[in-house]
Parts: sequence; C-alpha cells; structure tokens
Amino acid sequence: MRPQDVAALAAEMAVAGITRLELAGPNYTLTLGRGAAPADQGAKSPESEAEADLLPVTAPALGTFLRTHPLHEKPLAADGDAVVAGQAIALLRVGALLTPVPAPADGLVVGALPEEGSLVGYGDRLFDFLPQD
Amino acid sequence: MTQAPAVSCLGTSAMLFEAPGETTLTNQQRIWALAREVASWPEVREAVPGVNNLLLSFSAAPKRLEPLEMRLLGAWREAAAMPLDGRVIELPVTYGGEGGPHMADVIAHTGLSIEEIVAIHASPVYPVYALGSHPGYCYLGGMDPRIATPRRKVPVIRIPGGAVSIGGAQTGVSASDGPSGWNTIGTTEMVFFDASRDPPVLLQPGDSIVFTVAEIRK
Amino acid sequence: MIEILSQSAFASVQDLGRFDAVRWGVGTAGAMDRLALLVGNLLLGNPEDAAGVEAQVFPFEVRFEADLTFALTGADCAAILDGVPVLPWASTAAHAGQVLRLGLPQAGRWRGARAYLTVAGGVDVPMVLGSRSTQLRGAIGGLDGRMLRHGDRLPAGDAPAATLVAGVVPPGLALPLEADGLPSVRVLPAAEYGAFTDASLARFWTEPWKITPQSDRYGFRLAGAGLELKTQLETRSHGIVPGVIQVPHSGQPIVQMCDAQPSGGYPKVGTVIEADLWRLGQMPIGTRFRFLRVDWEAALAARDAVDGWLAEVRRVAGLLRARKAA
Repeated sequence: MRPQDVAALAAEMAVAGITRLELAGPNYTLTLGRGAAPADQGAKSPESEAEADLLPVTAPALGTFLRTHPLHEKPLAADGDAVVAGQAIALLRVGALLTPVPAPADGLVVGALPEEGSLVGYGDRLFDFLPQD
Repeated sequence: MTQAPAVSCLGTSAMLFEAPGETTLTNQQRIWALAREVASWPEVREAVPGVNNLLLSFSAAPKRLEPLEMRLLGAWREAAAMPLDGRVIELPVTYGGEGGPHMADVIAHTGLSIEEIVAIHASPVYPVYALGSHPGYCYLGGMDPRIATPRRKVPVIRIPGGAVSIGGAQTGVSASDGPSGWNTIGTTEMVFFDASRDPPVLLQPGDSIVFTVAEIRK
Repeated sequence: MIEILSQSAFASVQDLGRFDAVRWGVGTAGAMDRLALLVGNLLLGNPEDAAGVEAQVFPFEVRFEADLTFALTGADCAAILDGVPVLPWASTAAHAGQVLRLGLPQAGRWRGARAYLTVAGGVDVPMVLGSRSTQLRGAIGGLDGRMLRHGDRLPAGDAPAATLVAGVVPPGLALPLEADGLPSVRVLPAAEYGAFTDASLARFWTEPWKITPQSDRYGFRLAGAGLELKTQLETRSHGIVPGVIQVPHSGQPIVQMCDAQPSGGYPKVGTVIEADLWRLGQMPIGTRFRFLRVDWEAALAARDAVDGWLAEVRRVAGLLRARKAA
C-alpha cells in the first residue's frame, strides 16, 4: 500500500464519517483513526506495523480560507500531496493580509474541510493531515 | 519675436521651466539665480539647472499646478543674473592620436588643420552652464563655431572618461566611460566626480574650464 | 551574508532610489518596481528604504550563509528554498546553508518581470550620496557600483529574531489597471505633446504598444504606430525623470526608466505617472500594453490609491509585529 493509497483511504473515511479503520494484510497491519487515540490499540502483528493517526490542522487566525494563492492557478497543496513541516498548505485572508497555514509535520495533506473562500475562525479545523516519518 | 517661458510638468514628479530665446551666458546666469531661489521652496525637492532651463523635482506633488507655475514665472521675472565668479580649472589635453579617434572627422568637416583646430578649441574660457548627462559631466558654453562638427550618425558604444569631444556647436569632457555620439578629439586625466567628496563634483555651474595643450599627436 | 550563485544574472542591489544628486548629473537608479521592494521591507520590519536585490534574469540562485528571514516580492518565480516552495509576496525563515532558487516568472493571475529579495536588516552595503542603489555609470553604490556576479557575497544587516511569517495580496491584483484586456499605464502629456500630429496622437492613446527586446533599466524601446511631428524640432537638452516618453526621429517612443541619464533632448510626448512606474517596470519583454491619458487630478488620485494601499499594508505589518510581540 502506497502513501497515496493511505491518504485516499483516509479521505474516504472522512466522507463516510468513519472514525476508526483497521486493516490487516499478509505482512502489515494498518490502523487509521481520526481525532483522539483509541482506548485499545487492538492486536498488532509482530512484523512490520503501520499505525497512523490523522493530525488535525486548525486555523491559526480568522480569515477567508484559501487553498490557492491569489496569484496561482493551482492549490498550494492538493489532496494526497506530500509536504514538509512548516510548508504553507493554505492561506487565511483578511483584507490585504495573507496568513499562511503551515503543515504541522512532514506528511500528506489528506483533505480540507472548509470550502474555498469560506470564512473560518481561530481554531477551526481546516485539514486532515497524515504525518510521515 | 518675443517668446514667453514655457512651463510644463514631467508627470507628477517634476516641473520643467524653459527660458525663451537663445542660450547666452546672461540667460544662463539668470537660470542659476532662479535655481537658487526655487531650491528653497517647500514643494521643491531639488532644483536642477539645465542649459537655458530648470527642472524642479517635487518633494510632494502639489494639489494644483497653476499657483506654482505663477510663482515660478514671477521668480524668473525677478531673477538677476548671478555673477560668474566661480573657479577656473585648467585641463591639460592630449589632442589627437589614440585618445582623439575622431579628430580626422573634425578636420574633414571644418577644412582646418589639426593645429588650427587645437588652437581654436584651447583658446576660450568655457563657463560651466550646467551638470547633467552623467555624474560630474559639465555642459559648457562658449565654443567657437568654426570647429562645430555634427554629432556622429552612429554613436560610439563606449568612450572613456576624460574624452574631450565636440557635438554640434558644443564641446564637453566625459566624466566616466559610456556611450557618446560626439566627436572625440582628445583626452584629459582630470577627475570630475568623486562620491566620497562633498560636493562630489569638481565643477559646478558658475565655474569655468580652460583647455591647455599638453600634446598634439598626429 | 548572502552568496550569489547565479552567473551574469543582471541582478543588482537597489533601494528606493538616489535623490538630491540629480544636479550633479547622478540619476536616481533604484528598484524598477518600488512597491515590491517597499512591501518586502514592510513584511520584514525593515526601514522602508532598506536595500534589497533586484533580479531580472532567471533562474536566479542565492545561498544564505546565516539564519535569517527574507521576503520575495515582485514577479512570482515559483521560488524554492532547499526544495520547499516559497510563498510569493511573503516573508519566510531561512537557515544557514539553505539555497533559494527563483525560476522563471510564472504566467499566473498577474505576470511580472522582476523579482525582489529583501532580508531582515536590509542588504548592508555602504550608503553613497544618501542611497544604496547601484549607479552603473560612474560605478557608485550597490556592490562596487555594478551588477552582481557569481561568488559575490552581500552583507545582511543586523536584524531582530525571525519575524512572524506572513504575506500580502500583491498590488498587481489589488490595484488592477487594464484597457481592452491589456495592461495599461497612465500618462500626463508633456511639453511637446502639441507638436505631434493629431492623427498620430490619437493612435498613441488607442493602439497597443509592444515592449521590444531592446528594453532594460535604461529605457523601454516600444514598437507600434509611430508618432509624427508637425514640424522639425530642435534638440534641447534638459533634465528628465523616469517615465518620460521621448520620441526620436524614428517615431518609435522610448520610455526612460530608472537608469536613464538624467537629461535628454528628444521631443517628449508625455510622462508615465509616478504611481504607475512599477506597472511598467514589471511588464516583460514582448508585452502589449496601452497608454491611458489622464489629467493632473486623475494622476494625483492614482497616487492616492497607491498610498492608500500601502497604508493598509503598513497597518497589517504593524499588527503582525504587535501580534508577535504579544
């Protein structure tokens, strides 16, 4: 399973409202969870194990949510894009000011919650993010 | 025919005053007086005399141009020719040879010999009318029309600083390397501009130049 | 220190320009897009007239030798810092050893031609005659009075700890100016305006003009429907400023730009207003654009609009510093 597949799977979970998914394959176990860590970790195979929690990315300020810079045609980070910690994945616009929303870690942008151009408040959840080592 | 001065604007950055009539030393002395008066006005960032004209750059563009225009015309009427009492600097010139690549064109155009051209060129005291074109460059008055030679059809991409040239009815000395459409007849070693000095220029309007003959190279 | 990695990039150190020395024959030089340089400085908390680097040919690369905060404004060049995209018109933190690479100006929602790199503390070359701008003729200011070369190292001034990183909506989007779908600049007629034929003047205002490859910091040579004089005019030399549109014998205009010599003698049809010089300075070679005639009042209104936008940028930059301090 490739990182993009994980991201796509996580996006599907978000759409379906599923908060926890466990997959077991021939040589892997994959647990995807949204939000707080689950109370029980479940069975883990002694071989390679991949456990990942999606990180929420919240608004550092109030503003109009923009995934695409006003100068650009394409978004700063599309769903499934790999980014590094600190890289701007969206902007919050208030008048002339554009405040960057940084990626919280190295990883993948899974999906955005607000609509492009909608007003968001401080602390609003903006993205699901899949950190990677 | 009596002409009036012309006042116009250069965008919102500056106003240009052009004096009527021919360029004469007396007119230029009045331009210097006008520049001195105008430089003290609050709207004016800098007063830059040209040959028979004055550029005044705005510190802030005025809401209306007409009052400033009126004041400028009034100041011109009042302007009394400033005395020509600056320094006289001697510039030794090596005429002809490698430093004077276009001497042959001046000879061909005027029909004079190199000795005659040099004698005529080095004879007058040339007042510095204005600075411009490039740092430290002086617009000089007083060249003898007998050695006037039209500007070159094809400008030279680079003549060195110190080049002594004739363009039409004027003469001048380049203060630094650069392009020129004038006829270069000799070279001098004077330093005309030094940014570390105050003022940074060797010569100012009101000073004068005398060319002396260091050498004639054929 | 900032190390220049690019070869012959036609880049130079510029600030807002050198004034008060025109009477010595010294032109103003300075950034072709002063707004971009100014905003870079505002984002970094620099004095507004701090010097930066103007890049004109791309790709353009520098290495930062120390940790610092920088800003990139002007043309959006899809810049990358050690492989990570850099936001245009925004400040970004850099670590010692990182390489910043500017690619070709992007043809996005607004296209520029020149990019400005500013650093917290400013590019700290000596002031000459009140400015750090590079004056090529006479070789004063900037770094040794010349264009930058591979291996040059520019000192960055002392700066406070990393500024809160943020960006602004660029003026190309915030202050659009177009006529019939073409970018435009406003022009005030100049002294010899009436000396041109009515027919050629009408074309001057209504036909597009093209920026030819023979265009640079000295002047923009334009191609289009030629201007014709009613009668021959004598060439008289007088002071000029950037924006003056001179018309030589060919009838094809030349707009004098920042490095133009400070005097000229060709007939002038008009002057691009100061408030629009940045627009012209950001038009790439080959751009087709329009001249728009304005009167004095409209020219001042244009200046007020730019000042108003700058005031807003200053205000948000102030808020950022307050937010960071809190």
